[in-house]
Amino acid sequence: MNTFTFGIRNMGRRKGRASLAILGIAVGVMLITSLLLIMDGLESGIAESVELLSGNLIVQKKGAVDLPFSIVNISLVDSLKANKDIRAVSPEIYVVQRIDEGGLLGFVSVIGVTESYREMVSPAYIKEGEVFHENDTGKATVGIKLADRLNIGLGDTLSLDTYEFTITGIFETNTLIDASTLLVPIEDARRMSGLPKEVVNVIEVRPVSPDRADAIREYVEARYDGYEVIYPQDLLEEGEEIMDTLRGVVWIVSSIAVIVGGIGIANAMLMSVLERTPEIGVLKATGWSNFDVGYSVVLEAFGIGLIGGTVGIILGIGSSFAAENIIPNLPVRLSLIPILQSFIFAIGLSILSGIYPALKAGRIPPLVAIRGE
Amino acid sequence: MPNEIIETIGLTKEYRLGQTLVHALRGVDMKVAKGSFMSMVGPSGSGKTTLLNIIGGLDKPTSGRMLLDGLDITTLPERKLHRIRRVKIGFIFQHFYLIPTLTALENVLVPTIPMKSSHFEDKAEKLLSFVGLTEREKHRPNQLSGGEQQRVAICRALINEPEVLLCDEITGELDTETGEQIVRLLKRINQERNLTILLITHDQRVASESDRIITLLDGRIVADKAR
Repeated sequence: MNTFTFGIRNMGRRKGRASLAILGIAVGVMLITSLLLIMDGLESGIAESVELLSGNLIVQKKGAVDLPFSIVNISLVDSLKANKDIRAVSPEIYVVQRIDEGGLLGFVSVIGVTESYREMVSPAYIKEGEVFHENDTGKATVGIKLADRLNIGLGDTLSLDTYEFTITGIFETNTLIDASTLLVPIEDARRMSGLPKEVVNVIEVRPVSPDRADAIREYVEARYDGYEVIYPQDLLEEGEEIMDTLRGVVWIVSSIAVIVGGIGIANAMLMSVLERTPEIGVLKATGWSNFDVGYSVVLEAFGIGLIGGTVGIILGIGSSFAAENIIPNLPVRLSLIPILQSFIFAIGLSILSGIYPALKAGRIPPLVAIRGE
Repeated sequence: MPNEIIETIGLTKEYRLGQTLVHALRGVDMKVAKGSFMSMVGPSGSGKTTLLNIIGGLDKPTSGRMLLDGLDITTLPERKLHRIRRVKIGFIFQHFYLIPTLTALENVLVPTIPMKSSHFEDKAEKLLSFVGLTEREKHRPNQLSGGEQQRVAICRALINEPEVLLCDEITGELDTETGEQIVRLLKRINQERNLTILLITHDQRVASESDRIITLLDGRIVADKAR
Protein backbone atom coordinates (compact mmCIF):
# COMPACT_ATOMS: atom_id res chain seq x y z
CA MET A 1 0.00 0.00 0.00
CA ASN A 2 1.23 3.52 -0.69
CA THR A 3 0.04 6.96 0.37
CA PHE A 4 -2.16 7.18 -2.74
CA THR A 5 -4.23 4.07 -2.01
CA PHE A 6 -4.27 5.02 1.66
CA GLY A 7 -5.74 8.44 0.86
CA ILE A 8 -8.23 7.07 -1.64
CA ARG A 9 -9.37 4.36 0.74
CA ASN A 10 -9.92 6.89 3.47
CA MET A 11 -12.68 8.25 1.24
CA GLY A 12 -14.73 5.19 2.03
CA ARG A 13 -14.65 5.90 5.75
CA ARG A 14 -17.74 8.06 5.77
CA LYS A 15 -19.60 7.04 2.68
CA GLY A 16 -22.53 9.39 3.20
CA ARG A 17 -20.37 12.43 3.68
CA ALA A 18 -18.05 11.54 0.82
CA SER A 19 -21.05 10.96 -1.45
CA LEU A 20 -22.47 14.38 -0.63
CA ALA A 21 -19.13 16.02 -1.33
CA ILE A 22 -18.94 14.09 -4.61
CA LEU A 23 -22.47 15.18 -5.46
CA GLY A 24 -21.59 18.80 -4.72
CA ILE A 25 -18.71 18.85 -7.14
CA ALA A 26 -20.62 16.73 -9.68
CA VAL A 27 -23.47 19.24 -9.90
CA GLY A 28 -21.02 22.04 -10.60
CA VAL A 29 -19.20 20.02 -13.23
CA MET A 30 -22.50 18.98 -14.77
CA LEU A 31 -23.50 22.62 -15.15
CA ILE A 32 -20.18 23.66 -16.62
CA THR A 33 -19.99 20.69 -19.01
CA SER A 34 -23.50 20.99 -20.35
CA LEU A 35 -23.31 24.75 -20.83
CA LEU A 36 -19.95 24.51 -22.59
CA LEU A 37 -21.21 21.70 -24.84
CA ILE A 38 -24.25 23.77 -25.80
CA MET A 39 -22.01 26.77 -26.43
CA ASP A 40 -19.77 24.71 -28.66
CA GLY A 41 -22.77 23.46 -30.58
CA LEU A 42 -24.06 26.98 -31.11
CA GLU A 43 -20.68 28.17 -32.21
CA SER A 44 -20.17 25.47 -34.80
CA GLY A 45 -23.77 26.03 -35.93
CA ILE A 46 -22.93 29.63 -36.65
CA ALA A 47 -19.71 28.72 -38.40
CA GLU A 48 -21.55 26.22 -40.56
CA SER A 49 -24.29 28.64 -41.49
CA VAL A 50 -21.64 31.01 -42.64
CA GLU A 51 -19.83 28.28 -44.46
CA LEU A 52 -23.05 27.44 -46.26
CA LEU A 53 -22.95 30.87 -47.81
CA SER A 54 -19.51 29.70 -48.95
CA GLY A 55 -18.06 33.07 -49.70
CA ASN A 56 -21.33 34.65 -50.82
CA LEU A 57 -21.74 38.36 -50.21
CA ILE A 58 -24.87 40.14 -49.19
CA VAL A 59 -25.82 43.51 -50.59
CA GLN A 60 -28.04 45.31 -48.11
CA LYS A 61 -29.21 48.77 -47.12
CA LYS A 62 -26.46 50.61 -45.30
CA GLY A 63 -26.75 50.09 -41.56
CA ALA A 64 -29.60 47.57 -41.69
CA VAL A 65 -29.79 45.77 -38.34
CA ASP A 66 -30.90 42.49 -39.81
CA LEU A 67 -31.76 41.12 -43.21
CA PRO A 68 -35.56 41.60 -42.94
CA PHE A 69 -35.02 45.32 -42.18
CA SER A 70 -32.98 46.00 -45.29
CA ILE A 71 -34.47 47.37 -48.51
CA VAL A 72 -32.66 47.08 -51.82
CA ASN A 73 -33.88 48.24 -55.23
CA ILE A 74 -34.48 45.40 -57.66
CA SER A 75 -32.77 47.35 -60.44
CA LEU A 76 -29.44 46.46 -58.81
CA VAL A 77 -29.88 42.85 -59.93
CA ASP A 78 -29.22 43.48 -63.61
CA SER A 79 -26.42 45.86 -62.87
CA LEU A 80 -24.72 43.29 -60.62
CA LYS A 81 -25.19 40.54 -63.21
CA ALA A 82 -23.15 42.63 -65.62
CA ASN A 83 -20.14 42.59 -63.28
CA LYS A 84 -17.52 40.11 -64.41
CA ASP A 85 -16.46 39.30 -60.85
CA ILE A 86 -19.94 38.01 -60.05
CA ARG A 87 -21.06 34.53 -60.98
CA ALA A 88 -24.64 34.60 -59.72
CA VAL A 89 -27.12 37.00 -58.19
CA SER A 90 -30.11 36.14 -56.01
CA PRO A 91 -32.67 38.69 -54.83
CA GLU A 92 -34.23 37.59 -51.53
CA ILE A 93 -37.08 38.61 -49.25
CA TYR A 94 -37.02 37.62 -45.57
CA VAL A 95 -40.19 37.22 -43.53
CA VAL A 96 -40.51 35.91 -40.01
CA GLN A 97 -43.83 34.18 -39.41
CA ARG A 98 -45.48 32.97 -36.27
CA ILE A 99 -46.86 29.49 -36.35
CA ASP A 100 -48.96 27.46 -34.02
CA GLU A 101 -46.87 24.49 -32.89
CA GLY A 102 -49.17 22.12 -31.10
CA GLY A 103 -50.61 24.93 -29.00
CA LEU A 104 -47.21 26.57 -28.56
CA LEU A 105 -46.03 29.71 -30.24
CA GLY A 106 -43.26 29.09 -32.74
CA PHE A 107 -41.44 31.03 -35.42
CA VAL A 108 -40.28 30.13 -38.89
CA SER A 109 -38.20 32.27 -41.11
CA VAL A 110 -39.49 32.41 -44.66
CA ILE A 111 -37.06 33.30 -47.42
CA GLY A 112 -38.53 34.30 -50.75
CA VAL A 113 -36.15 33.31 -53.56
CA THR A 114 -36.00 33.06 -57.33
CA GLU A 115 -34.67 30.09 -59.30
CA SER A 116 -31.25 31.66 -59.19
CA TYR A 117 -31.04 30.70 -55.50
CA ARG A 118 -29.89 27.23 -56.48
CA GLU A 119 -26.74 28.77 -57.86
CA MET A 120 -26.07 30.19 -54.41
CA VAL A 121 -25.91 26.92 -52.53
CA SER A 122 -24.65 23.44 -53.23
CA PRO A 123 -27.06 21.73 -55.66
CA ALA A 124 -27.17 18.72 -53.37
CA TYR A 125 -29.05 20.65 -50.73
CA ILE A 126 -32.39 19.28 -51.87
CA LYS A 127 -32.88 16.05 -49.97
CA GLU A 128 -36.32 15.04 -51.21
CA GLY A 129 -38.66 16.36 -53.88
CA GLU A 130 -37.67 19.31 -56.00
CA VAL A 131 -37.30 23.07 -56.02
CA PHE A 132 -40.37 25.05 -57.07
CA HIS A 133 -40.27 27.19 -60.16
CA GLU A 134 -40.07 30.92 -60.04
CA ASN A 135 -43.60 31.48 -61.25
CA ASP A 136 -45.12 28.89 -58.96
CA THR A 137 -47.17 30.14 -56.11
CA GLY A 138 -48.14 28.48 -52.85
CA LYS A 139 -45.21 26.07 -53.00
CA ALA A 140 -42.36 25.72 -50.56
CA THR A 141 -39.25 23.71 -49.74
CA VAL A 142 -38.66 23.19 -46.08
CA GLY A 143 -35.63 22.50 -43.87
CA ILE A 144 -35.40 18.87 -42.80
CA LYS A 145 -35.44 19.57 -39.07
CA LEU A 146 -38.30 22.03 -39.39
CA ALA A 147 -40.22 19.38 -41.32
CA ASP A 148 -39.58 16.93 -38.50
CA ARG A 149 -40.61 19.42 -35.90
CA LEU A 150 -43.84 20.35 -37.63
CA ASN A 151 -44.37 16.75 -38.67
CA ILE A 152 -44.92 17.59 -42.33
CA GLY A 153 -43.68 15.90 -45.49
CA LEU A 154 -43.83 16.16 -49.27
CA GLY A 155 -47.30 17.08 -50.51
CA ASP A 156 -48.50 18.32 -47.13
CA THR A 157 -49.91 21.78 -46.70
CA LEU A 158 -48.55 24.33 -44.26
CA SER A 159 -50.60 27.34 -43.18
CA LEU A 160 -48.80 30.53 -42.32
CA ASP A 161 -51.11 33.31 -41.28
CA THR A 162 -53.54 33.44 -44.19
CA TYR A 163 -51.15 31.86 -46.66
CA GLU A 164 -51.00 28.19 -47.56
CA PHE A 165 -48.00 26.37 -48.96
CA THR A 166 -47.70 22.90 -50.42
CA ILE A 167 -44.40 21.26 -49.58
CA THR A 168 -42.61 20.29 -52.80
CA GLY A 169 -39.14 19.67 -51.42
CA ILE A 170 -37.11 19.14 -48.31
CA PHE A 171 -33.58 20.50 -48.00
CA GLU A 172 -30.73 19.63 -45.71
CA THR A 173 -27.69 21.81 -45.12
CA ASN A 174 -26.68 20.45 -41.71
CA THR A 175 -26.90 23.93 -40.25
CA LEU A 176 -29.25 25.90 -38.09
CA ILE A 177 -31.38 26.93 -41.05
CA ASP A 178 -32.54 23.30 -41.40
CA ALA A 179 -34.51 23.82 -38.23
CA SER A 180 -36.02 27.18 -38.94
CA THR A 181 -36.34 27.98 -42.62
CA LEU A 182 -38.90 27.70 -45.38
CA LEU A 183 -37.94 28.66 -48.94
CA VAL A 184 -40.84 30.04 -51.01
CA PRO A 185 -41.24 31.77 -54.40
CA ILE A 186 -40.20 35.39 -54.07
CA GLU A 187 -43.57 36.83 -55.05
CA ASP A 188 -45.31 34.86 -52.28
CA ALA A 189 -42.84 36.28 -49.78
CA ARG A 190 -43.44 39.75 -51.19
CA ARG A 191 -47.18 39.43 -50.51
CA MET A 192 -46.47 38.30 -46.96
CA SER A 193 -44.02 41.09 -46.27
CA GLY A 194 -45.97 43.82 -48.08
CA LEU A 195 -42.84 45.07 -49.80
CA PRO A 196 -43.46 47.16 -52.92
CA LYS A 197 -42.80 45.61 -56.31
CA GLU A 198 -39.52 47.35 -57.08
CA VAL A 199 -37.63 46.31 -53.93
CA VAL A 200 -36.36 43.20 -52.12
CA ASN A 201 -34.68 42.86 -48.71
CA VAL A 202 -31.23 41.86 -49.87
CA ILE A 203 -29.37 40.67 -52.91
CA GLU A 204 -27.10 37.71 -52.34
CA VAL A 205 -24.09 37.62 -54.63
CA ARG A 206 -21.75 34.75 -55.44
CA PRO A 207 -18.32 35.89 -56.60
CA VAL A 208 -16.48 33.95 -59.33
CA SER A 209 -13.86 33.29 -56.69
CA PRO A 210 -13.65 34.26 -53.02
CA ASP A 211 -10.70 36.59 -53.59
CA ARG A 212 -12.89 38.86 -55.74
CA ALA A 213 -15.01 39.76 -52.71
CA ASP A 214 -13.17 43.04 -52.02
CA ALA A 215 -13.41 44.15 -55.64
CA ILE A 216 -17.16 43.52 -55.58
CA ARG A 217 -17.55 45.45 -52.36
CA GLU A 218 -15.68 48.43 -53.79
CA TYR A 219 -17.71 48.28 -57.01
CA VAL A 220 -21.04 48.30 -55.15
CA GLU A 221 -20.17 50.87 -52.54
CA ALA A 222 -18.67 53.26 -55.10
CA ARG A 223 -21.57 53.04 -57.51
CA TYR A 224 -24.60 52.84 -55.28
CA ASP A 225 -25.12 55.27 -52.49
CA GLY A 226 -26.87 53.93 -49.39
CA TYR A 227 -25.92 50.29 -49.89
CA GLU A 228 -23.27 48.18 -48.29
CA VAL A 229 -21.79 44.74 -48.87
CA ILE A 230 -21.43 42.43 -45.90
CA TYR A 231 -19.16 39.43 -45.83
CA PRO A 232 -20.17 36.22 -44.15
CA GLN A 233 -16.76 36.50 -42.51
CA ASP A 234 -17.95 39.65 -40.77
CA LEU A 235 -21.00 37.82 -39.51
CA LEU A 236 -18.83 34.96 -38.30
CA GLU A 237 -16.54 37.27 -36.42
CA GLU A 238 -19.44 39.11 -34.90
CA GLY A 239 -20.98 35.80 -33.90
CA GLU A 240 -17.73 34.64 -32.40
CA GLU A 241 -17.42 37.83 -30.41
CA ILE A 242 -20.86 37.31 -28.95
CA MET A 243 -20.00 33.69 -28.27
CA ASP A 244 -16.80 34.64 -26.50
CA THR A 245 -18.73 36.97 -24.23
CA LEU A 246 -21.32 34.27 -23.57
CA ARG A 247 -18.58 31.76 -22.91
CA GLY A 248 -17.11 34.09 -20.32
CA VAL A 249 -20.48 34.40 -18.63
CA VAL A 250 -20.93 30.63 -18.70
CA TRP A 251 -17.54 30.16 -17.07
CA ILE A 252 -18.26 32.68 -14.34
CA VAL A 253 -21.67 31.28 -13.51
CA SER A 254 -20.66 27.65 -13.55
CA SER A 255 -17.37 28.33 -11.80
CA ILE A 256 -19.39 29.58 -8.88
CA ALA A 257 -21.23 26.27 -8.82
CA VAL A 258 -17.99 24.30 -8.93
CA ILE A 259 -16.42 26.50 -6.25
CA VAL A 260 -19.41 25.84 -4.01
CA GLY A 261 -18.75 22.15 -4.66
CA GLY A 262 -15.12 22.72 -3.73
CA ILE A 263 -16.16 24.32 -0.46
CA GLY A 264 -18.23 21.20 0.14
CA ILE A 265 -15.11 19.10 -0.31
CA ALA A 266 -13.10 21.34 1.98
CA ASN A 267 -15.81 21.05 4.61
CA ALA A 268 -16.05 17.28 4.34
CA MET A 269 -12.29 16.93 4.50
CA LEU A 270 -12.04 19.23 7.49
CA MET A 271 -14.64 17.17 9.32
CA SER A 272 -12.77 13.97 8.49
CA VAL A 273 -9.51 15.41 9.68
CA LEU A 274 -10.96 16.60 12.97
CA GLU A 275 -12.70 13.30 13.48
CA ARG A 276 -9.49 11.41 12.84
CA THR A 277 -7.33 13.61 15.04
CA PRO A 278 -6.22 10.76 17.35
CA GLU A 279 -5.52 8.54 14.38
CA ILE A 280 -3.47 11.25 12.70
CA GLY A 281 -1.58 11.64 15.96
CA VAL A 282 -0.78 7.94 15.82
CA LEU A 283 0.41 8.20 12.23
CA LYS A 284 2.78 10.90 13.36
CA ALA A 285 3.91 8.93 16.38
CA THR A 286 4.80 6.08 14.04
CA GLY A 287 6.99 8.34 11.96
CA TRP A 288 4.74 10.03 9.40
CA SER A 289 5.92 13.55 8.66
CA ASN A 290 3.58 16.54 8.53
CA PHE A 291 3.91 16.36 4.77
CA ASP A 292 3.00 12.65 4.62
CA VAL A 293 -0.18 13.30 6.59
CA GLY A 294 -1.13 16.37 4.55
CA TYR A 295 -0.39 14.58 1.30
CA SER A 296 -2.75 11.73 2.15
CA VAL A 297 -5.49 14.28 2.90
CA VAL A 298 -4.94 16.06 -0.43
CA LEU A 299 -5.09 12.70 -2.19
CA GLU A 300 -8.40 11.99 -0.54
CA ALA A 301 -9.74 15.34 -1.79
CA PHE A 302 -8.35 14.50 -5.21
CA GLY A 303 -10.24 11.21 -5.12
CA ILE A 304 -13.48 13.02 -4.35
CA GLY A 305 -12.79 15.44 -7.21
CA LEU A 306 -11.97 12.59 -9.58
CA ILE A 307 -15.22 10.76 -8.91
CA GLY A 308 -17.26 13.98 -8.70
CA GLY A 309 -15.74 15.24 -11.94
CA THR A 310 -16.44 11.99 -13.77
CA VAL A 311 -20.01 11.76 -12.51
CA GLY A 312 -20.52 15.45 -13.33
CA ILE A 313 -19.29 15.03 -16.88
CA ILE A 314 -21.56 12.05 -17.49
CA LEU A 315 -24.51 14.01 -16.07
CA GLY A 316 -23.45 17.09 -18.05
CA ILE A 317 -23.39 15.20 -21.35
CA GLY A 318 -26.73 13.61 -20.50
CA SER A 319 -28.36 16.88 -19.54
CA SER A 320 -27.11 18.74 -22.60
CA PHE A 321 -28.65 16.11 -24.82
CA ALA A 322 -31.82 16.32 -22.77
CA ALA A 323 -31.78 20.09 -23.33
CA GLU A 324 -31.37 19.47 -27.05
CA ASN A 325 -34.55 17.42 -27.01
CA ILE A 326 -36.53 19.94 -25.01
CA ILE A 327 -35.39 23.10 -26.77
CA PRO A 328 -35.68 22.95 -30.56
CA ASN A 329 -32.91 24.50 -32.67
CA LEU A 330 -30.35 23.83 -29.95
CA PRO A 331 -27.50 21.94 -31.50
CA VAL A 332 -25.38 19.96 -29.06
CA ARG A 333 -22.12 18.51 -30.12
CA LEU A 334 -19.91 16.20 -28.13
CA SER A 335 -16.49 17.77 -28.15
CA LEU A 336 -13.50 16.89 -26.07
CA ILE A 337 -12.16 20.31 -25.17
CA PRO A 338 -15.05 21.58 -23.00
CA ILE A 339 -15.19 18.19 -21.28
CA LEU A 340 -11.47 18.27 -20.55
CA GLN A 341 -11.67 21.88 -19.43
CA SER A 342 -14.38 21.26 -16.87
CA PHE A 343 -12.73 18.03 -15.70
CA ILE A 344 -9.35 19.64 -15.13
CA PHE A 345 -11.03 22.60 -13.45
CA ALA A 346 -12.90 20.30 -11.06
CA ILE A 347 -9.83 18.23 -10.20
CA GLY A 348 -7.70 21.33 -9.69
CA LEU A 349 -10.28 22.87 -7.42
CA SER A 350 -10.67 19.65 -5.41
CA ILE A 351 -6.95 19.52 -4.78
CA LEU A 352 -7.05 23.16 -3.79
CA SER A 353 -9.95 22.44 -1.42
CA GLY A 354 -7.89 19.68 0.17
CA ILE A 355 -4.99 21.95 0.96
CA TYR A 356 -6.43 23.74 3.97
CA PRO A 357 -7.63 20.52 5.66
CA ALA A 358 -4.27 19.00 4.75
CA LEU A 359 -2.35 21.82 6.42
CA LYS A 360 -4.63 21.48 9.40
CA ALA A 361 -4.01 17.74 9.57
CA GLY A 362 -0.29 18.24 9.15
CA ARG A 363 -0.22 20.55 12.12
CA ILE A 364 -2.00 18.19 14.50
CA PRO A 365 0.57 17.45 17.19
CA PRO A 366 1.23 13.73 17.64
CA LEU A 367 0.66 14.16 21.33
CA VAL A 368 -3.08 14.53 20.79
CA ALA A 369 -3.26 10.81 20.14
CA ILE A 370 -2.27 9.96 23.65
CA ARG A 371 -4.15 12.79 25.30
CA GLY A 372 -7.31 11.95 23.41
CA GLU A 373 -8.41 9.52 26.10
CA MET B 1 28.06 3.63 21.83
CA PRO B 2 26.80 4.39 25.31
CA ASN B 3 25.29 1.52 27.19
CA GLU B 4 22.34 3.75 28.04
CA ILE B 5 19.80 3.93 25.26
CA ILE B 6 17.91 6.60 27.17
CA GLU B 7 19.29 9.30 29.43
CA THR B 8 17.30 12.22 30.80
CA ILE B 9 19.06 15.14 32.45
CA GLY B 10 17.10 17.55 34.62
CA LEU B 11 13.88 17.26 32.65
CA THR B 12 11.21 19.72 33.68
CA LYS B 13 7.87 20.34 32.06
CA GLU B 14 5.44 23.12 32.85
CA TYR B 15 2.23 23.95 31.09
CA ARG B 16 -0.74 26.16 31.71
CA LEU B 17 -4.11 24.64 32.41
CA GLY B 18 -6.48 27.60 32.50
CA GLN B 19 -5.19 29.87 35.24
CA THR B 20 -2.94 27.38 36.95
CA LEU B 21 0.62 26.50 36.05
CA VAL B 22 1.05 22.77 36.15
CA HIS B 23 4.49 21.38 37.00
CA ALA B 24 4.25 18.04 35.28
CA LEU B 25 7.93 17.20 35.68
CA ARG B 26 10.21 18.79 38.28
CA GLY B 27 13.65 17.57 37.31
CA VAL B 28 13.85 13.97 36.20
CA ASP B 29 17.25 12.33 35.88
CA MET B 30 17.14 8.80 34.68
CA LYS B 31 19.22 6.33 32.72
CA VAL B 32 17.82 3.31 30.98
CA ALA B 33 20.15 0.57 29.81
CA LYS B 34 19.70 -1.09 26.44
CA GLY B 35 17.45 -4.11 26.61
CA SER B 36 15.72 -3.09 29.85
CA PHE B 37 12.10 -3.87 30.52
CA MET B 38 11.08 -1.00 32.76
CA SER B 39 7.76 -0.02 34.31
CA MET B 40 6.72 3.45 35.36
CA VAL B 41 4.07 3.63 38.03
CA GLY B 42 2.51 6.43 40.00
CA PRO B 43 -0.85 8.08 40.58
CA SER B 44 -2.64 10.06 37.89
CA GLY B 45 -0.98 13.39 37.32
CA SER B 46 2.38 12.21 38.56
CA GLY B 47 4.00 12.92 35.18
CA LYS B 48 4.36 9.39 33.75
CA THR B 49 2.77 10.12 30.39
CA THR B 50 4.56 13.45 30.05
CA LEU B 51 7.87 11.72 30.64
CA LEU B 52 7.06 8.99 28.13
CA ASN B 53 6.07 11.58 25.50
CA ILE B 54 9.30 13.49 25.95
CA ILE B 55 11.31 10.29 25.70
CA GLY B 56 9.47 9.41 22.49
CA GLY B 57 9.94 12.83 20.94
CA LEU B 58 6.23 13.63 21.00
CA ASP B 59 6.63 16.49 23.45
CA LYS B 60 9.35 18.96 24.33
CA PRO B 61 10.51 19.59 27.91
CA THR B 62 10.57 23.08 29.38
CA SER B 63 14.17 22.50 30.32
CA GLY B 64 16.61 19.62 30.50
CA ARG B 65 17.87 17.18 27.93
CA MET B 66 16.73 13.86 26.63
CA LEU B 67 19.43 11.74 25.00
CA LEU B 68 18.34 8.91 22.79
CA ASP B 69 21.33 6.73 21.98
CA GLY B 70 23.52 9.72 22.89
CA LEU B 71 21.61 12.18 20.64
CA ASP B 72 19.78 15.08 22.30
CA ILE B 73 16.35 14.94 20.66
CA THR B 74 14.92 17.94 22.53
CA THR B 75 16.68 20.33 20.16
CA LEU B 76 15.61 18.61 16.95
CA PRO B 77 13.01 20.31 14.77
CA GLU B 78 9.84 18.39 13.89
CA ARG B 79 11.04 17.70 10.36
CA LYS B 80 13.94 15.67 11.78
CA LEU B 81 12.10 14.32 14.78
CA HIS B 82 9.61 12.34 12.72
CA ARG B 83 12.51 10.30 11.32
CA ILE B 84 13.72 9.49 14.82
CA ARG B 85 10.22 8.32 15.71
CA ARG B 86 10.07 6.27 12.56
CA VAL B 87 13.39 4.52 12.98
CA LYS B 88 14.09 4.35 16.71
CA ILE B 89 10.77 4.42 18.55
CA GLY B 90 7.69 2.27 18.60
CA PHE B 91 4.54 3.47 20.35
CA ILE B 92 1.67 1.44 21.71
CA PHE B 93 -1.40 3.16 23.09
CA GLN B 94 -4.20 2.26 25.42
CA HIS B 95 -6.85 2.70 22.71
CA PHE B 96 -4.97 0.78 19.97
CA TYR B 97 -5.94 3.39 17.31
CA LEU B 98 -6.08 0.95 14.43
CA ILE B 99 -7.51 2.29 11.19
CA PRO B 100 -10.97 0.74 10.81
CA THR B 101 -10.94 0.44 7.01
CA LEU B 102 -7.65 -1.43 6.87
CA THR B 103 -7.03 -5.12 7.53
CA ALA B 104 -4.78 -6.29 10.34
CA LEU B 105 -1.91 -6.73 7.90
CA GLU B 106 -2.42 -3.28 6.39
CA ASN B 107 -2.58 -1.72 9.84
CA VAL B 108 0.79 -3.24 10.66
CA LEU B 109 2.14 -1.66 7.47
CA VAL B 110 0.80 1.84 8.21
CA PRO B 111 4.13 3.29 9.47
CA THR B 112 5.82 2.17 6.24
CA ILE B 113 3.28 3.73 3.87
CA PRO B 114 5.22 6.97 3.28
CA MET B 115 8.37 4.97 2.62
CA LYS B 116 7.17 3.66 -0.75
CA SER B 117 8.71 0.27 -0.23
CA SER B 118 7.07 -3.10 -0.70
CA HIS B 119 9.53 -5.28 1.14
CA PHE B 120 7.78 -4.75 4.46
CA GLU B 121 4.94 -7.10 3.66
CA ASP B 122 6.91 -10.26 4.48
CA LYS B 123 8.05 -8.70 7.68
CA ALA B 124 4.51 -7.74 8.63
CA GLU B 125 3.35 -11.30 8.03
CA LYS B 126 6.18 -12.65 10.17
CA LEU B 127 5.31 -10.25 12.98
CA LEU B 128 1.65 -11.25 12.87
CA SER B 129 2.62 -14.87 13.00
CA PHE B 130 4.96 -14.10 15.90
CA VAL B 131 2.00 -12.70 17.88
CA GLY B 132 -0.21 -15.56 16.75
CA LEU B 133 -2.47 -13.67 14.33
CA THR B 134 -1.66 -15.28 11.00
CA GLU B 135 -5.27 -16.42 10.67
CA ARG B 136 -6.47 -12.87 11.28
CA GLU B 137 -4.33 -11.07 8.68
CA LYS B 138 -7.26 -10.14 6.48
CA HIS B 139 -9.61 -9.17 9.28
CA ARG B 140 -10.57 -5.62 10.01
CA PRO B 141 -10.26 -4.17 13.52
CA ASN B 142 -13.98 -4.53 14.23
CA GLN B 143 -13.66 -8.27 13.59
CA LEU B 144 -10.89 -8.57 16.18
CA SER B 145 -11.08 -8.80 19.96
CA GLY B 146 -9.43 -6.16 22.12
CA GLY B 147 -6.43 -8.37 22.80
CA GLU B 148 -6.04 -9.14 19.11
CA GLN B 149 -6.26 -5.46 18.25
CA GLN B 150 -3.56 -4.64 20.77
CA ARG B 151 -1.35 -7.38 19.31
CA VAL B 152 -1.81 -5.83 15.86
CA ALA B 153 -0.81 -2.48 17.37
CA ILE B 154 2.31 -4.13 18.82
CA CYS B 155 3.23 -5.45 15.37
CA ARG B 156 2.68 -1.95 13.98
CA ALA B 157 5.08 -0.58 16.57
CA LEU B 158 7.67 -3.21 15.64
CA ILE B 159 7.52 -3.01 11.85
CA ASN B 160 10.31 -0.44 11.60
CA GLU B 161 12.51 -2.37 14.04
CA PRO B 162 12.74 0.34 16.69
CA GLU B 163 15.20 0.32 19.54
CA VAL B 164 12.71 1.46 22.14
CA LEU B 165 9.10 0.44 22.64
CA LEU B 166 6.99 2.94 24.59
CA CYS B 167 3.74 1.59 26.00
CA ASP B 168 1.15 3.83 27.63
CA GLU B 169 -1.42 1.94 29.73
CA ILE B 170 -1.68 -0.68 27.05
CA THR B 171 -3.59 -3.14 29.21
CA GLY B 172 -6.04 -0.48 30.39
CA GLU B 173 -8.78 -1.53 27.99
CA LEU B 174 -8.24 -5.26 28.31
CA ASP B 175 -9.52 -7.78 30.83
CA THR B 176 -6.98 -9.14 33.31
CA GLU B 177 -6.19 -12.32 31.48
CA THR B 178 -5.78 -10.70 28.08
CA GLY B 179 -3.71 -7.98 29.72
CA GLU B 180 -1.39 -10.59 31.16
CA GLN B 181 -1.04 -12.26 27.77
CA ILE B 182 -0.03 -8.96 26.24
CA VAL B 183 2.55 -8.31 28.94
CA ARG B 184 3.98 -11.82 28.50
CA LEU B 185 4.21 -11.11 24.79
CA LEU B 186 6.10 -7.90 25.48
CA LYS B 187 8.44 -9.76 27.77
CA ARG B 188 9.11 -12.26 25.03
CA ILE B 189 9.83 -9.44 22.61
CA ASN B 190 12.14 -7.86 25.15
CA GLN B 191 14.08 -11.07 25.61
CA GLU B 192 14.13 -12.41 22.07
CA ARG B 193 14.85 -9.10 20.33
CA ASN B 194 16.76 -7.32 23.06
CA LEU B 195 14.37 -4.40 22.68
CA THR B 196 14.20 -1.73 25.37
CA ILE B 197 10.66 -1.44 26.70
CA LEU B 198 9.19 1.35 28.83
CA LEU B 199 5.75 0.64 30.15
CA ILE B 200 3.35 2.89 32.01
CA THR B 201 0.86 1.01 34.13
CA HIS B 202 -1.48 1.28 37.04
CA ASP B 203 -1.51 -2.45 37.50
CA GLN B 204 0.95 -3.82 40.08
CA ARG B 205 0.88 -7.27 38.52
CA VAL B 206 1.89 -5.84 35.16
CA ALA B 207 4.66 -3.84 36.79
CA SER B 208 5.93 -6.90 38.60
CA GLU B 209 6.71 -8.56 35.26
CA SER B 210 9.37 -5.93 34.53
CA ASP B 211 12.97 -5.87 35.70
CA ARG B 212 12.90 -2.31 36.99
CA ILE B 213 10.10 -0.21 38.44
CA ILE B 214 10.25 3.56 38.66
CA THR B 215 7.67 5.35 40.77
CA LEU B 216 6.79 8.94 40.00
CA LEU B 217 5.05 11.37 42.30
CA ASP B 218 4.39 15.02 41.57
CA GLY B 219 6.83 15.09 38.70
CA ARG B 220 9.72 13.47 40.51
CA ILE B 221 11.14 9.97 40.70
CA VAL B 222 10.49 8.86 44.27
CA ALA B 223 11.47 5.22 43.94
CA ASP B 224 13.62 3.21 41.54
CA LYS B 225 13.71 -0.51 42.20
CA ALA B 226 15.55 -3.10 40.20
CA ARG B 227 14.18 -6.60 40.54
